Amino acid sequence: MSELLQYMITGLMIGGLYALVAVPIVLVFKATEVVSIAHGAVLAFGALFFWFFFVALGLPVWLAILLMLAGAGLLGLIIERFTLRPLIGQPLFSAFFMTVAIYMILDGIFALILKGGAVAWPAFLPTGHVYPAGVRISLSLLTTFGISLLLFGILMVFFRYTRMGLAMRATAEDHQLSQSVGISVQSIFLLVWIISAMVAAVAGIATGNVMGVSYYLPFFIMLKGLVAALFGGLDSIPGALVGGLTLGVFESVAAGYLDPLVGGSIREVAAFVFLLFILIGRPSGVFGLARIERV
Amino acid sequence: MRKGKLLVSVVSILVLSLVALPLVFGCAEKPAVPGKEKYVSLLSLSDYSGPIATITSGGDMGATIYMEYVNAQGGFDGIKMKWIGVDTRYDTARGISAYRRYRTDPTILVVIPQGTPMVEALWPLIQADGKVLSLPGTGKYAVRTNGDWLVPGKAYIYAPPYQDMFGAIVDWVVKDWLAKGKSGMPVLGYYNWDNEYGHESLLGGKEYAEKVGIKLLPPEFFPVGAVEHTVPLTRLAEAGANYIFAGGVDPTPAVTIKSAFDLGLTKKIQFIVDYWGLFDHVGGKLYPDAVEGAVITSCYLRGDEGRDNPWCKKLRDFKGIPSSEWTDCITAGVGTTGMHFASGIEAAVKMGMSYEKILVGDNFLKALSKSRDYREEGVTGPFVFSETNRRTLDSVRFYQYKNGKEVPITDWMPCPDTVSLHSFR
Amino acid sequence: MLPCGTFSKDYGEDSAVIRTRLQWVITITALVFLFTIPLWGNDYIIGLVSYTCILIIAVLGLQITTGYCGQVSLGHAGFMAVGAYTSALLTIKLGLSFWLALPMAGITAGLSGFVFGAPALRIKGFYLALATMAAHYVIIFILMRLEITGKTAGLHPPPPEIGNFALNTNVRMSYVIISVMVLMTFLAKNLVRTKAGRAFVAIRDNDLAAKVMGINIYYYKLLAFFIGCFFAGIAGSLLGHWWLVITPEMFTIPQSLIFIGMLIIGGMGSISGVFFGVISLRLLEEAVTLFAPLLSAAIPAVGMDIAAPLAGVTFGLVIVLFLIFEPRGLVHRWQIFKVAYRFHPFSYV
Repeated sequence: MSELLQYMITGLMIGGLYALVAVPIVLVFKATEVVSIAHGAVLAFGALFFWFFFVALGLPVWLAILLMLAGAGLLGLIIERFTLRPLIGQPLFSAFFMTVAIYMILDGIFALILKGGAVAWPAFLPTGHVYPAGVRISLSLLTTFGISLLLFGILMVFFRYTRMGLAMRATAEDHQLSQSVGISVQSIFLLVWIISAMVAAVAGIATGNVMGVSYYLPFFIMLKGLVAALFGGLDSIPGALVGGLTLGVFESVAAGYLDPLVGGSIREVAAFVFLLFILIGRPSGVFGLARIERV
Repeated sequence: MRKGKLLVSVVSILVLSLVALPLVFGCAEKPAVPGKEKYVSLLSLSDYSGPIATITSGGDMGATIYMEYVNAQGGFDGIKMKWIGVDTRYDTARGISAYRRYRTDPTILVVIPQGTPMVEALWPLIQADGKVLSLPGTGKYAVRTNGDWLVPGKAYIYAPPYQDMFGAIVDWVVKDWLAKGKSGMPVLGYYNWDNEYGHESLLGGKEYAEKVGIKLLPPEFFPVGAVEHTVPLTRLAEAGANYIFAGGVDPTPAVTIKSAFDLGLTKKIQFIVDYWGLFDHVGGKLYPDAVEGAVITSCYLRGDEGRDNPWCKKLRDFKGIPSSEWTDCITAGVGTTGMHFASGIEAAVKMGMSYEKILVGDNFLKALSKSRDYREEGVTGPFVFSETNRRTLDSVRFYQYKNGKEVPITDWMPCPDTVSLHSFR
Repeated sequence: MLPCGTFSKDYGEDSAVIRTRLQWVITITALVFLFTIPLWGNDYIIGLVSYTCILIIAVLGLQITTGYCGQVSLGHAGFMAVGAYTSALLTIKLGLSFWLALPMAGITAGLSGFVFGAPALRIKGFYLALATMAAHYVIIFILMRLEITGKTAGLHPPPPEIGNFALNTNVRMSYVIISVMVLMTFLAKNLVRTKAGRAFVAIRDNDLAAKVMGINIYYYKLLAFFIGCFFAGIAGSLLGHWWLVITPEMFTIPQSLIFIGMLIIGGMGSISGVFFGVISLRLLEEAVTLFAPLLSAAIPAVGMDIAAPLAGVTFGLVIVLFLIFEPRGLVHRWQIFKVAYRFHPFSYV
């Protein structure tokens, strides 16, 4: 029994990480109806920027975080302005593949910079582990979990109580109507990309804390974030949280019990099998808006 | 408007034709003209940007520096060496295509496909071309039954086969267990990449572990790109592992050990990595707290021992590399891929072979089997290649991270022959 | 748009693919050129051409599934793997001849396409893309775990034989590959002109309307997957028997993405687009691999040979440019060019 509890708690903590990665994808989809694969790479770059400012330049933590956010925002701006704006009006699949192409470019640059090696930074968040009730929890994972909850809180408040958030929600509902009440949809798109890039960068720091920044980070994390987002519903932010946590728990429990039978790697396959079930069962996710098409 | 469209179309087709240049390049590619200088080349299908980039980048650099040094002394009787390194990013298709591009170069004597899957794919091709294949550690190629190789062909294994290494690890684990005053047999966990290389150590290693009597837990594998290790590690810990062999090329084992450290496991479980794990400039630098106390199985000198080895020092001064930039991987390249090749050539020259004769694979291997006297001592264990043994090395040395430095904890230990315990097909 | 002066006197001529004498000349020259490459090319060129032909076969299948029928499939390399392994197992374990194993590999891959394409009946567009990617991963995972497929070591298929004559050199195998490629192109080109082909296009354009019109979209969607994966299986089998080794690592998800990229660059919904896309991207990749060492030599900070990630960056960049400036692909440019020279000076089409 304590085994199951161990797997579930571990899964929950990791799920917080996945949820953090899922948020930018949901943000962008909500506003622009484009699913962005590119955020996996933006996340990795966020971690890289942070390492650069914190370790290479030796700046204090808070300054490094601010500069990293600025860098990530800039990256999001470049992506939106130069590659996605020309695609407004094109079928959505083109935009999706554009994000795939951007992901490939960023991933390639990332690999060129890292050259197979890895970078890490000295821990500035608590490390070590706690051992409540016979369950091992690594503190860095717990901190990540905490960060994601905090971030979710901030985003919920932002969307509910600020004008900008209101404008974004309106744009997500209907582009034309929002334009008719005077909201500039184009600048909302831009803003969404900048904010989502910043969130992705924060997720990058959290991920880097747990597992270092190595060259396969983008692919691995992008996939998990996508699955989590799909499960929760691509247009629902609380859905991203639920999706991430559920994915984490499902993966960990499956890996915990099935790995010995199959010799390992269940974790990745579990994510994909999970994905298949969601897509066949309820493509719009648990909290998403279901489009009804009887075809 | 129509002129504009026509222009764009013409321009794009012109650009496409430009891209077709490689076709012309390929057509015009003549084999390398030797010219005045006689070169013997080694083609390394390496990985400079993928999973094993850390070892191959440094290793290739080490071998290249070694070759440059020898060439600067005038080579061996005027015969110089050349290292050709190609990036395949651990992708078999790219490796095959790269090999095809270079196979017409007559100066290439040895080919090293860095990556066990690539060795499988390229073995028939390289043998058909009459070249010598050098591989890191697949045991199948060391097997000899009834005086015949299981896999006939020209090859040498440039590091001890992985299963033999695992046998040495088992021996060390038992020794360490008894030295700690424990009774009974220790429990060993196995955690490695889910590919050819990751499974290799068990082909023979498992049988040896059973023979010795230690308890080997069911092995755990993970995909090359995975970065999350909490679940398998906790499972191994719950199963009572006293030692865990964490495989993979750095930074993978470093991340594994860091995950274990975060879970508090490194205090109770001794982690062991293989030749390609926890380099001082990768794993050691990334997580110094986590790797403290981890044990490394190495077939070449590590850390300061490697840096201060007189031969490495000579090369360092020759190239003007400061001590802090001389990494474990460079030592590895000098001691294994570089030295094997160079000493083989030197032996061939001393045996009186002409340049043309040296380029024949069989002659090179004959010379290699006599090259012991031409090697610099110390960078690796004793050299054991012979006509009946494709292994060039068969001993390892154990190091441990103490206060951030790799300190040797054993001398050169011979690896048991576990390859013969497994029935390869 | 046919050149001026070309007219049809009967339905046969009207539905012909090759209409003018110039087209005949070009076609025959191209075929002759292709079949004589093994004679004059060096090993590198032959390898390049053979590999490109195999990719063309695979992408032809993808064009039918995605380009003509609109069912996005991001798992095509996985179906190639199915074909490769099937053909390897049939020749190794059952001792069947390659010529029998080849079509069977195609059929098996097609059937697996049936199974993994089933989600297409419920989901569309991006969701289907992800489902097929998941399918790819599951296929590779299974292949890596089964003892019979050699686990991670893979299999070593034997070279094909005609009687006692073994086709185990590059030159001989390239003849086979090129012939099969020509055959499959012929097949694909005619397939899209049949009733099924028209149904595919109808489904792509608006599947609701297609259903209303009476087209059985379930059947045709599955058929599109079957055919696409059949082509992939044939391609995989050829690859296996040419390289004489297959491992799960040869069929990766990035490879599937590259296939889609080839479709986008070549032009979706057109058979000639496949040729444009595959050939241009392959040449681009070879160009990058050849020029990367020069770049490293010029800028030492870049490090040693950085061909692989540079290829990834270049590929992404090319796709970005094409999506922005020419989403209809090279084949569209080619058509503009044809119109320009055919209707000169009235080429303002």
